[in-house]
Amino acid sequence: MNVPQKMMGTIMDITEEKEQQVELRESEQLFKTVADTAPVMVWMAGADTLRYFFNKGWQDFTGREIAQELGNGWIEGVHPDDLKPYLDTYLSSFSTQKEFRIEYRLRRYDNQFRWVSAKGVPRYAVDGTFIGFIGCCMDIDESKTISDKLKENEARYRQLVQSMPAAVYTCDVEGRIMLFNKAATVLWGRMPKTHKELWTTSFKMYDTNGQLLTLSQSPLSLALKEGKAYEVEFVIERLDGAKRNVLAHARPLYDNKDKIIGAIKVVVDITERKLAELLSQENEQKFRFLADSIPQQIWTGDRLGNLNYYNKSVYDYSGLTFHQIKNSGWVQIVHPDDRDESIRKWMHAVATGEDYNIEHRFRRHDGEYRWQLSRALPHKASTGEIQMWVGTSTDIHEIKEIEQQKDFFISMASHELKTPVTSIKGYIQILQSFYDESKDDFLKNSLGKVNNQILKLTKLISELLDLSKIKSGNLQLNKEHFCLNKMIGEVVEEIKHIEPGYEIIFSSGNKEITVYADRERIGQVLVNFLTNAIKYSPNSKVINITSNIANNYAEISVADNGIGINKADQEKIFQRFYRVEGKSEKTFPGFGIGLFIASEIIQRHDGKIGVNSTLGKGSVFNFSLPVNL
Amino acid sequence: MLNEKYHVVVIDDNEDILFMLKTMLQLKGYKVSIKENAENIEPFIESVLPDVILMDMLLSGADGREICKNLKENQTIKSIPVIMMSALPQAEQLCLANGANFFLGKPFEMNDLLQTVSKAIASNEDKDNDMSAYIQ
Repeated sequence: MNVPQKMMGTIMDITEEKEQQVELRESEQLFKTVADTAPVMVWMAGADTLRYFFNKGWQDFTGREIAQELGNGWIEGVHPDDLKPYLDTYLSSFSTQKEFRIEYRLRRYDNQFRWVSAKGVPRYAVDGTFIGFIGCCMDIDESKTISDKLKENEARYRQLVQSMPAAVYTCDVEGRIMLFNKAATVLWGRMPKTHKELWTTSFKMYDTNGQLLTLSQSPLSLALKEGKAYEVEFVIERLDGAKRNVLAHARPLYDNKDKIIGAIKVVVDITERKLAELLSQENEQKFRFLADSIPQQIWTGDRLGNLNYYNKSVYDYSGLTFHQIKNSGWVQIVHPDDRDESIRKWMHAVATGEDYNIEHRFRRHDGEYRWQLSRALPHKASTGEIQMWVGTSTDIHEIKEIEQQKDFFISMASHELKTPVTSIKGYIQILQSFYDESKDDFLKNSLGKVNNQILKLTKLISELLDLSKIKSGNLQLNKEHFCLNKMIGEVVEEIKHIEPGYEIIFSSGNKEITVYADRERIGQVLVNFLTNAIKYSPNSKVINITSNIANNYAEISVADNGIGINKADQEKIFQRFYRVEGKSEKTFPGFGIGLFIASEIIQRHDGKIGVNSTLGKGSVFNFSLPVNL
Repeated sequence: MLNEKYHVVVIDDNEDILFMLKTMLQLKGYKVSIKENAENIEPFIESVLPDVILMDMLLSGADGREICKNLKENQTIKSIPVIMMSALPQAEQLCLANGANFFLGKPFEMNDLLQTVSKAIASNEDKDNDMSAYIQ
């Protein structure tokens, strides 16, 4: 049995110690109370890095129990991406016993990671022993996001400014360059040192009239001096001598107390634009000069047909101003009788994009109406869309008058020619009837020849007259029902009488062919075919005429065995004044209008005319007429 | 000759043509009176009272169409057939519109002239016959 035999003890005065302990407890309690009320998160860790204290702020923020956080439990709340850098800093601070600051993401009660700013300070005991760290954290998520955005924005603006095609730079109140973009260096032709070099040393400035500008006249100086924004176009001459047209915009920069701290300048190089402008101005001037120097009236209209430009001739001719024409419309100068047709055709052209073409009368400044030929063409984009109309009006008054005079002249001339022809022809025929029974063959032959020549002369005169009638649209048809074969028979007899040396054989597939046509004109076409057949058949004396009905058309053909016509000429032979040229044809006289007239006559009867021919073998001329009209 | 009983008045201001026409008609036996102008034409026609009037459309100083119109308004003369001649294009319509009974374009074949004249005479005789038939 172990029984204490004696007690030994030492009595030490621990009052001070106790007091100290109490004091310490009290101060720790006080600290914890303070820490709990602080709006920040506070933790404490021992020298072993393990945390043993978290204030209420921490608990509130993380929403976790102290027990969960103690030791290394708090590590669970650190964002995985930030854990390594955080622990690295944390642990190294413990080993170096140095204060640390770090920003990292910490999980909040709502599981959202928030950026916090953490600071750790080493703690030492009274005797200087390292006893761990005390740390505090603040939620800086909002300001962190804002500052990140600001940084991002700044980078974006910087990029924007850099990539701008205009030169952008700022300077302080002294004119020292503070910021500039790439375009600015291109404009300056140098790379200035910021905060040091002045903006003024890069180039000389001239106004648009070529006057050298002083420094104080530059928009940047003015913006700095007067606190106003300036926009000026001027010419700069770079150090390398190159001149550029620029548009400069300068604006003062203020601090938050509205004090001018510098200026920003934006300079746009407009040299190319200027050049293009100059060129287009030059082109426009050239065009206007050209248009104004032309005696024709020229006008343009938009795609809807609204006229928007007239050359000088229009004003000179009409005596009107642009506004007078615009206000009352161009139609006011058109002759009242021609207005409806002018408008109708113009609307049609604008609606369809077809060319405008019309003859109408315009009132001149002196009141006289004169004939004009107006034409307009649409100017189309590559897409085919009409962009504008360009029109001209040509004074054809004199031409019209001359044509009328010419037609009148031809008409009169043919009349005047016909009178002596009538006389000659009459006397010849009288002589012929006198000497009909005469034995004098020479006399009789001579009279016959003269009579034939007179016939030819008569035909030529008639052709001239017909031509002028066709041209003036006065070729009138006197239609009647008649028997085609009978008419052919009469013509054949007539020709046989004049050209007794030719054998003209007429055969018809139909006995009776009645047509409704101008008997005399159709006869004229046949005479023309026959005289051509004779004219171009110097070596063959047989001519065949046929008539038939096929597909409601009466078809008449005249075939010869003459010299023929080549393919190229066959297409043109019905054109006015077209004559087959060649060695053998040179001896055949004529105006070359006979077939043109024949073609006109047949066309006006709604018929068809044509030719089939082989060079050297002969030709078959044919025409057809509708029979059931 | 067959045509001797017929009297033709020819009016043309061209002397050569006038003589030519006269000759042609006389060759065929017609009795022919000529006149070179339009002066006092109505009294002249009234005095002659021909079977046919052959007249140029354009007479110097006068328009044959006007004359023709007047002749056709004259009760004594209006039944006499009028043949108008012209070298002018489209004269035919103008002449017929002004009362001419026949038209002859210049230049013409002698045959055409003679045929037209005899046609004109025949037309008038037909009318006379019709008239006599009516009276009977």
